[in-house]
Amino acid sequence: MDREALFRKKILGQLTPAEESSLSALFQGDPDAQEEFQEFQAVMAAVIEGEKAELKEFLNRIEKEERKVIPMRWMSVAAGLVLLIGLSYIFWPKPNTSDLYGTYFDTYPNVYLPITRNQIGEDSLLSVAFFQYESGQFEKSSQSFLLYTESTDAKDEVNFYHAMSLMQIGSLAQAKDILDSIDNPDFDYADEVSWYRSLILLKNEQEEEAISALIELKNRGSSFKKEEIEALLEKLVANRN
Amino acid sequence: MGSKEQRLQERLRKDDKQALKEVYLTYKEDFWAFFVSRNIPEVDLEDIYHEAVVAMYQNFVLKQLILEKASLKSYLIAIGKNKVLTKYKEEKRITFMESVSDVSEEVEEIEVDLGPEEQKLQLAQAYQQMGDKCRELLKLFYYRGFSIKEIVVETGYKDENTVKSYKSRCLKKLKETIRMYHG
Repeated sequence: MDREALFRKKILGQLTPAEESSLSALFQGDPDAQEEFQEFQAVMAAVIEGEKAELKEFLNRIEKEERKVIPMRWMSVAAGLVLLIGLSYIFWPKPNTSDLYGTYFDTYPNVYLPITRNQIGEDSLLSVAFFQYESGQFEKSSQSFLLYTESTDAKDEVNFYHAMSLMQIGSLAQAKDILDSIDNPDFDYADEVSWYRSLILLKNEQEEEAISALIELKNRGSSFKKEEIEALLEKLVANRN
Repeated sequence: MGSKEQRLQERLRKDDKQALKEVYLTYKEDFWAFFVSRNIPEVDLEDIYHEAVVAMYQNFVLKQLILEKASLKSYLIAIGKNKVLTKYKEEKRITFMESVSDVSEEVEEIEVDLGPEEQKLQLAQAYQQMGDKCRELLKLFYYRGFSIKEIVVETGYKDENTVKSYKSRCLKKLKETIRMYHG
């Protein structure tokens, strides 16, 4: 083995005992060998350290590449999610607008003809109708209001409660006909009429008509169901998009 | 040990940078998990991992290391432990030393006595300032342990004498640069 190979193995700690002896003999026999060894060691150190620095730069580059790749991976995941959400938005059944009817429909209170026992007498049919309405007997109140309106030129307020009774029993087409007939901005219950008409339109899945009616109601500055009008409009518009 | 890992080791011994990249990416997560679970701050781990990977790689190239029993992963972690122990010993952070020293696996690391850090940096710079051809030749001879004859086979040099004479010129340049640093 030449002396440079011995030097290299010495530096790397790989000398066998025999090679160790050879190297000792070399240092003893040749006065220049020690200096040669030191020079060899310095060069080797330069190469090892230079390569180490390059390897670290190499690893830094890998790390940088990975940092770019990982966000890209996440971006592709995000893009996938966006696509999935988009597709689900398109294909997922939209919330049924007619369900909104159930959410927003409530019983309109009897504020027209509050019933006391003493009142039943004159106009007894009308009083009975309101009594039935107030007590939640909407099937009966519908019949009573029908009888009353057929026999008398009833005021719009009475027609309104007739429509309310019909809505309670699910006769929406008839209720809507009545509401349409009394849909008059000068009517005291004009806002109420528009609101319940809009709900029937929703139940019939006539969203656009419902939205128009609600917008008109809102623009009219209705104080009746003000918050509900806005909330419902928001849902309908979002659903439309 | 699987043949895949043996092939990977073989490539590391041949100074294959792609193999280095594979090792780096493959074992990073396990390395991280091992040291994070022993409370080593994550902020330190990137440096420690880089140092461990470089030390591992240089052991393969310089010493033509063959791992017969240990896997590359356990070898890397063992080097990492040595790095952690050294780092926190210097910083006197005993807690971290104790948390890592529970594993008795030993790793023989190449620690060539290259003098103080400042000198190492100067040597590295001197080497890096050389032209590509000189660096390649010195690297084959001093780093990868090729003989002059093997260098002729590996490279396009005409014969051994050409290699020897070119090597002398390169060494002269390097020594001049080193001497310049040392005054």
